[in-house]
Amino acid sequence: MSTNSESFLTKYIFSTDHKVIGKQFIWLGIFFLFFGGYLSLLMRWQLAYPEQAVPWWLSWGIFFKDAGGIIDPDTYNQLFTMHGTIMIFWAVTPILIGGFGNYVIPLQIGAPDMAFPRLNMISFWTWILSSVVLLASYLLPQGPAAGGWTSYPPLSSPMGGIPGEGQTLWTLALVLMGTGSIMGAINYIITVVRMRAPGMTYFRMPLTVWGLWLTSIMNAVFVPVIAAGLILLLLDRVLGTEFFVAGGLASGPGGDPLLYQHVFWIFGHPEVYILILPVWGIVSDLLAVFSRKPAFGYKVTAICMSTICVLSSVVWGHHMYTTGMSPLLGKAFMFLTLLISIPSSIFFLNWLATLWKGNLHFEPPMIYTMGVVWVFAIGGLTGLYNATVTSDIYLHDTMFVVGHFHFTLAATLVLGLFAAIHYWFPKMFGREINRTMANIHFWVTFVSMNFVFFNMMVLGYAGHHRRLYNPMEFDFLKPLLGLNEWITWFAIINGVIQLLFIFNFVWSMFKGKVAERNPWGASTLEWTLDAPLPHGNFAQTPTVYSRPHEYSHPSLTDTDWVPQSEPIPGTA
Amino acid sequence: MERQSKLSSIPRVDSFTSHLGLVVMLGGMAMFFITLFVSQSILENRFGVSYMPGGGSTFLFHSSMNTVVLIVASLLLEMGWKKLCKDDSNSAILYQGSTLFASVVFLVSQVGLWNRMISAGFLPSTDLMGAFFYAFTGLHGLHIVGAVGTLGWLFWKMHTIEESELLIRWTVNARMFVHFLTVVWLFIFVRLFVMV
Repeated sequence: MSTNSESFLTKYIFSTDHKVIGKQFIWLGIFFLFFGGYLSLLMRWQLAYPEQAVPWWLSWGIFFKDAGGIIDPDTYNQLFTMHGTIMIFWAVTPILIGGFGNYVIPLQIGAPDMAFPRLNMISFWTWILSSVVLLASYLLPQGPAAGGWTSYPPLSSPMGGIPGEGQTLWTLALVLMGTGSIMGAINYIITVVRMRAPGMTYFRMPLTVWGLWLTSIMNAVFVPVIAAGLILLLLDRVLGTEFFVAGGLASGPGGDPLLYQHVFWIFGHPEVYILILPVWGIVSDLLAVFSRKPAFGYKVTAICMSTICVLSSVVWGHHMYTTGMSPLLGKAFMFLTLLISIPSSIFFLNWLATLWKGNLHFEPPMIYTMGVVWVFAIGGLTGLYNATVTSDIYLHDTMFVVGHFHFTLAATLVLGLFAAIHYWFPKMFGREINRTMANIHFWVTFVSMNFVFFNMMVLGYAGHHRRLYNPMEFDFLKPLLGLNEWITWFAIINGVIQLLFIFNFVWSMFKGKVAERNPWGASTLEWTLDAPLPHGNFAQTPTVYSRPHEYSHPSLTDTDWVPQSEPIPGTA
Repeated sequence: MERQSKLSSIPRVDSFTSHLGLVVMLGGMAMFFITLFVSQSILENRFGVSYMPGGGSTFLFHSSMNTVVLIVASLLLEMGWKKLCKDDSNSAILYQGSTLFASVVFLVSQVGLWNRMISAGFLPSTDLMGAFFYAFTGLHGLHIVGAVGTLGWLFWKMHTIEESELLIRWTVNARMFVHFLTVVWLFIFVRLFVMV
């Protein structure tokens, strides 16, 4: 444990303590979560009230003044581009992977810190640099990127693409973010491989650590792939190369925009799992904690998550069924994609079996966790339609896809990160988060997000294309205006209720009830420590004797849990 | 007793852990270059554009010399490593310095090659071969700049610290990095100048 005195700068700004860096990532992510969420509300306004002025309470009286308060088509393109980019890469990733990865991994495996603390700090500051570059694009005369979060050429190309340098900064920001992400991944992988406490075998690690570890491996393998693609795109934009420029737009034989799509999705599909694996791990652990039962099929869940990682690397083509790919190739990608449903279903059933006949405690982290179980079920099942060539050709690029991936990514990840925040809050800040406010926040968030995303799928099934500026230009979409309005108002409710979360978070940090060392009766190692945790974590390296979820063990008498660092009574 | 890191106040990890971290990083870099190689092959096959950058063998000799320089740099580093293991630190420093020098020569020569190519009107925007030539050599060059920085830092440390265990650890890491970049360069050289 550290006994060195540290200055304010080294303790809170350029800290190498994994816990401080974790909190820094969480604050960064929360900022972008609100920023990206706000962009989505503006987008929703345009869809519900096409070409009508944004009300003052949504534009804050300062935006869109030049256009009389109306969102123009270029701005609309920028809104959905930056919403997607920010939510995926600058909100969810920093909170779940950067934040909880940093905070939780060393504590749960009994390590004093990450393997490379300085690299950890550099990783965070690289994210900050990437954030500055991304936000700087708002200062450009033509605004930020507008080619969608996938930024397919030719939309993102200098020739025939959307004008302005916003796209260049977007590409550069993503390269920087990827660099920071790889640094973090190296740290997580090595920390888990080399710094586990004695007795902490791989199959005694909490499933949260499993999820984060697998995520890091995927990050280390696939982020370099998109980095290469983005650098080629950057060269197209800056040096006039034509890697992804084709046809009449190219000066010579040119390159191939489809190559970019392949490179993007070779990374992009695993990215879905990169984001969701930590949540699967967290949910698996939390269901056990709040059911007071060992996680059902613990080993099988870990193996299923690993299998999904392998399978996810060979299914990228299902995003490209409509690009004219050979039907045989389409079938191969469909088969491989549908294979993923087997391990996914197995661990999902493990979740249900963990709950079965459990002593359920509906504490705030548990209700968010139950929310994840529900939204992931919907997101997973609707994914089957997108995985199947025949139905995907109809549904491709419609609001159905938007609804599906918002269930899978937005709802699952956001509820998962809320579960994580509420669960580890007492350890992070030494205080309990207010339960009443947490319950209100959960129910309003849960109901509104389900309404929004489910009805997006209804819109898509009716043929509503995604990224449409004004659906009212199409007669067959006019009857859907009412539904679009409802979705928008539920999205606004969803946005407003997040203010309650922020209030609760900040209020509880200072005024919340002082938390006990282990308020949930959890058996993983972090709960053996008193908050505030010192730099270096454990006074003595713990020895681990059991799996992470030995709840309600028959030999326990006084309590129904025993920390992993103590032998279960009556066992050798 | 493990040495304490100044910043983190947490004991440093052991040498194997440090090397393993570098291996993961090099794995990532390998994925990066593999993506570029595969992209080049796909576009080359699709458009049937496969010829030596610059349109002929004019630049082959220059590029071959660069290849030799980088291989020599790798060999010098290996010899320095052997001397370090035998506790012959003076010779180790000499070889280390020579590696640094050879790496800088490689960079300067690459800039010279670029200059010649640009003067001959062969630009990144000329065609796909030009685009890939500058992308490969530029991105590899950027990594070499990193290697020069690492070698320079190591050279300075060899003069300032006595702790041979740390020096050996850093040298092993520098070795892996430099050898990796030499291998990548060999692939680039073969891909751009031989397999055409």
